[in-house]
Amino acid sequence: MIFPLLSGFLSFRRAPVTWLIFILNAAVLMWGWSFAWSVNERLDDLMNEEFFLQTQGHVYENYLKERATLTPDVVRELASSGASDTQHFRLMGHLAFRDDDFIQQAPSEHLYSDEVAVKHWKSQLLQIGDLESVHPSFLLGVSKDPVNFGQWVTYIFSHTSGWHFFGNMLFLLIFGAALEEVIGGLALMVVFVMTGVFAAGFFLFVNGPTTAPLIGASGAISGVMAMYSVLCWNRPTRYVYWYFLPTRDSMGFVFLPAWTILVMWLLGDLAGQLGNLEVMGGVAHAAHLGGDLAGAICGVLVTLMWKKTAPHRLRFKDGFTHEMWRLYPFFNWYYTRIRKPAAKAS
Amino acid sequence: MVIPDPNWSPADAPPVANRPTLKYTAKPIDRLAAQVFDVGVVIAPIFLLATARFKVMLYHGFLVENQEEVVLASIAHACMGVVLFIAYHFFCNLYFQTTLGKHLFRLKVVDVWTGEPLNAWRSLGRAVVSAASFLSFGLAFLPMLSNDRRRALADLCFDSEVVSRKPNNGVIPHRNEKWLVRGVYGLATLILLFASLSLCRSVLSYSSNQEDLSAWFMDRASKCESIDEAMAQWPLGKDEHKASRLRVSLALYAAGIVDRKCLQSEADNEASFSNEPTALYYLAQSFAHSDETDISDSYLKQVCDQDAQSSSCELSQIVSAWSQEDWLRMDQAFSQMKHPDVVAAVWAIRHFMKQGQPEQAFSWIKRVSPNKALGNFLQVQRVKALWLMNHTSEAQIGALQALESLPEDWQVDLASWMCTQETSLECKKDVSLSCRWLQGQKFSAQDDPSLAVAMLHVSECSGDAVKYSELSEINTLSSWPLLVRLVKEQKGGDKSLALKLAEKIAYDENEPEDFRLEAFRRYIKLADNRTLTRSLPEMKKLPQAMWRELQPRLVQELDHRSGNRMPASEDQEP
Repeated sequence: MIFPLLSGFLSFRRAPVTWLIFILNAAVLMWGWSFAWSVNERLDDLMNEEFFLQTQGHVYENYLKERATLTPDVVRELASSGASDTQHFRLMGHLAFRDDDFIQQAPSEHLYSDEVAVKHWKSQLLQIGDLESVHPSFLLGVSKDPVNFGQWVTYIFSHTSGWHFFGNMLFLLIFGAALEEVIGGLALMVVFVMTGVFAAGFFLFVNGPTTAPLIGASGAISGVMAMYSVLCWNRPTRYVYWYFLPTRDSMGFVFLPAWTILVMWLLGDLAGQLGNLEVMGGVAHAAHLGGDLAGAICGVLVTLMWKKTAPHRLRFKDGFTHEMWRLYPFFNWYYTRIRKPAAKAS
Repeated sequence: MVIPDPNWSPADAPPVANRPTLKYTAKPIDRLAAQVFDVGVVIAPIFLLATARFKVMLYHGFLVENQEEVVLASIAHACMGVVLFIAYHFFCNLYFQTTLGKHLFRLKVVDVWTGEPLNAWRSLGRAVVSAASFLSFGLAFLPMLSNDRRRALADLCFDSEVVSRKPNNGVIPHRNEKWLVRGVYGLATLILLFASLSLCRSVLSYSSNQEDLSAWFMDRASKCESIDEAMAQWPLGKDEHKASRLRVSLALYAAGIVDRKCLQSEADNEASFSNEPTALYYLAQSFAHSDETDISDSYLKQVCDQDAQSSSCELSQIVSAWSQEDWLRMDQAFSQMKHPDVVAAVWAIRHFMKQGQPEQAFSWIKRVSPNKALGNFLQVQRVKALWLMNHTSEAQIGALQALESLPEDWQVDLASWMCTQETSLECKKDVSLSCRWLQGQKFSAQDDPSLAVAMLHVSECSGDAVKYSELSEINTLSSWPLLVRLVKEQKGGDKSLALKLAEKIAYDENEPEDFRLEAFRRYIKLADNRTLTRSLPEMKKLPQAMWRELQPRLVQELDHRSGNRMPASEDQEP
């Protein structure tokens, strides 16, 4: 495993704005959890009910046969495949959730002749709509209504799950803190929000309005990472590597120029975006790419500005001379109990 | 590959001064770090980008269930990975003597004898063997833990060595490391041996497995295929030109010939091809969704809304009475039916057999016959009805014919039912025909309570000593060993314990009906007159079908005890 560690987690005193963003995200997560728990459970039950999904699959198939919408080719191919088994209709039912036109238009049209099934499907769809209207992900995330610009900002601070939050915040605390040391707290906040907004715009430009809301700070964090990589492009950046091996040298640091981070992330997101089938996927790679682009532009602009006005700010000191390991309990234990005694003995 | 020269002597070796000393030999852990860096940071992102289109192909293949596309995309992924790995290592080692990862850890690849860079062919060969080592889960890298110069398989094959650019206090392998390598290789050999043996075993049993599997698939497929067969054989009415496929499916479902999935698939087909679903469609859907009460009820309600005059509407009311266990209403509904069709007839036969009214059931069987598609069902029900109507000789002749001509499932059903009936009061001198037939076969009663009870009777009446421990394992239900214990205690043990066990199983509503009936039969024999009289009101509260089965036995037992044993006629049960 290898991971960019930079200067690690800085204290609140050294990176106050980063920690404030973290706290804000945590607060929104707690607020969302406080009432989304039961809604989530109910929503899952409704959306995964077998009979509902089967009916939705039938209705969606008939809907696609009658219309030439902008539906992806693979869905049209599936609809016209002639398969009539339950698995096929379940899949079609799941795919239908991603087609906003269908969800809006189908309930008012006569697309399936089984009245009992259609009645059940409509009532369930109505319940799902009601639940979505009070769900934090739909309230704060960017979804069906692309011109609701408030959501372009609020989506940055909301997360779906603990793991989603944990992953994003890990990167925020490392890269946000590093960038805050370079450009200052206020500028970091501006860059964070601006790149987040740009990421949402880019996502909507590439994918169009979606029924699954876009949420999470990853777009904005991609922007922060990209700006750091461009601004400090030649600065040695510390990566930590480790393997799960019982040897003394099974972990350590390597130093690479900061631009490698941008290249690695850009390649990953580009691969994700190109290799993503339109009807599948839960990661908004387009938003990450938008964030990367916005962050890189910010980085270039600030570099050009500093070259003229404050060239000294571009001459970075080496920040890795202090013993970083002391900050981490495990590393501390490893160095004091194992590494040093072994070195002395040899 | 290095071919050892038999004439080679140490004197021919290149001068020692040109060789890298042990002091500069790369540490294995640094080499591992460099490899992880190369794969994780350099090759993986390029691989992901290069295979993005194949990934789309793979997802597409999975979605539209195109196996060829999935296989092609998987092969393309694997090939791309291997090619990238080889190309990266080949070019880097050839032009820079190091890769990016090795550069970071200050390592370089050199000729083991001269310390010079490798030439193109050796560089390519080394990259290919490294890729193969990677694919072997790293096993081929392990030799570097056991030889003094820390050379992996690729180095040994192409006379190369990885050295450190700075002195790093390299040490020769510790004996523990050597033991580790031997251990891992030993383990790998054992696993390989075990895998080969299992492979051989599976190849040997492949033919029999294949037969079993194909039989299973054929059986699965034939269940729905029997609708096609039935369509060809279905007797048409006066004004009918072609039988309704859905009606045939419903009749077959009611008779237990096709399962619910087949019925649902037929109903879905009907919905796809007709603009306006019929009452029959809604009836079929109500059966297809019988495990979801609300949905099933909605469909049942819709049947009469669609067409109040149809036979489907009449049947929907009967089904609704069946689900409410309102047997009286069902009796009336069947007698007042204006348009009884085959589906209704099958339900009527099942209802009257369940309610212990074999005469009524028999009259419905006559109405439906002859019907080749339902032939097996009708034959079995006819034999059962005849037996219950005390026409035992006719029933036994019918059973004899049926056991020769019916498919296995139906044979087992009929034989276990007949065997239980024939031996339920006492074992005859010579075991009954059905029991003898069961005795000669090797069926699994793991999931079939009725067959398990029949096997118990067969074992009891065979004349040999009953092997209770073996018997208690023929069925997986938790109450089965209790039932076997009850029989054991009844035969020659603690009678009061047997009575308690019989009472426990008989009154437990969660137990299968066959077990409960068997327990009740034993209970009637074990309990004294006082206990029987006391439990009579409770027994009357049992489901009607069970009570109708038990009532004559109870009367017979009480008569027997009072000394007024009724003389058994030829056609009567002993």
